[in-house]
Amino acid sequence: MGRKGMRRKGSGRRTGREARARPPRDPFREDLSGSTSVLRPSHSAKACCVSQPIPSPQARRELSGGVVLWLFVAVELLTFGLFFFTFALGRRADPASFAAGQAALHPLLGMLNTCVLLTGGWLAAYGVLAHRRGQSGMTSACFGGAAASGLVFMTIKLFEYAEVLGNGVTFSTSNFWFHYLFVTGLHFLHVLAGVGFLLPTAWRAGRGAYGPEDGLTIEAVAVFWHLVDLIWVFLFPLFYLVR
Amino acid sequence: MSSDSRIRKNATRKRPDSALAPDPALAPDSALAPATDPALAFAPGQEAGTRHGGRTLFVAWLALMALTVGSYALSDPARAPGASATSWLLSFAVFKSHLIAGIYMEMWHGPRVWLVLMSSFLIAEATLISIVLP
Repeated sequence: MGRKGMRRKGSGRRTGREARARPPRDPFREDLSGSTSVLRPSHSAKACCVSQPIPSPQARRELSGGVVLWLFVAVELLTFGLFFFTFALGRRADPASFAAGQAALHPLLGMLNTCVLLTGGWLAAYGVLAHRRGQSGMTSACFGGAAASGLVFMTIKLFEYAEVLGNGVTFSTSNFWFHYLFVTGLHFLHVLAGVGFLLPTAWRAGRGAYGPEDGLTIEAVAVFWHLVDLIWVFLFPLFYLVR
Repeated sequence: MSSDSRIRKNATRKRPDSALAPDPALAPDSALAPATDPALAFAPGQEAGTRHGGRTLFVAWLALMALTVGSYALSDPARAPGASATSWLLSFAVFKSHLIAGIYMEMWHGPRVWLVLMSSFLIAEATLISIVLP
């Protein structure tokens, strides 16, 4: 067979043997090709070729991060909701003390912290999007940015705590300060935990450790970070702004 | 010339540009081919493999920032009287939480039950607080 014949054979429909010998495709690539399906995760050529398409996330209508995480989110929201309600009751009982305590806070710093957290939330959401697109580097950068926003938030919050505690305020100073230190302290611990989840995830994503099968992990970390945002969105006006 | 040496010679020869073009034989009927089931298609404006596009996330972020700055401006007693400002601040908080839960946490594409429960809880919480606050 001449050269022409060989080229025709190479460019034609591939034989079964050639198809089997073909190297495995990047599972992410399939999702980028305009497809609305993703392949079942596998990095082996054999499993890749027998894989079936699974429905898109929209078609599945599943909770991002999984049901167990959302039960945790529900418990957290109920707990903080109870704290916010007791804060409102305390304020109703002793408005003068609450007004005096609130006057010692810095609403501008609170607003700055809100913007920082919301920016971190946006980055985390974009990190999930990048992961679904198969952009490991972008996922890593976004999650790293979200972790950095958490660190900035904690720095500002520590500055506020230093000022408040430097003025001799303790948990027992007044009902307002008990609520402020307890609720914002608990939220601070959540931010710390969020940064603790985001940083290793960003690092591992940067090393390409997450494939399509790890979508739940990426989503769970992002949802936890959004929970931190969600709590702060109520905490900020209640403690800093409502007069 | 043996067939082995001919294959080796062809392998070292520079490939024509046409050889780099996508191979049409890589198959709509291939096991790896994208599925085209219209039932799984995304809504217009959405990107394949995602629930919300990057633009949606950015617009939500902008809205959240605007609401935050608006809340800060409203907290000034000179701009709005106490009770009215409190209602507005809590309404902004509810709206912001809906944006975060719906878009960032992707609840708008999750099960309806969870969305209804979450929305009801957030609205009830804000209503109770606004009733209790002096």
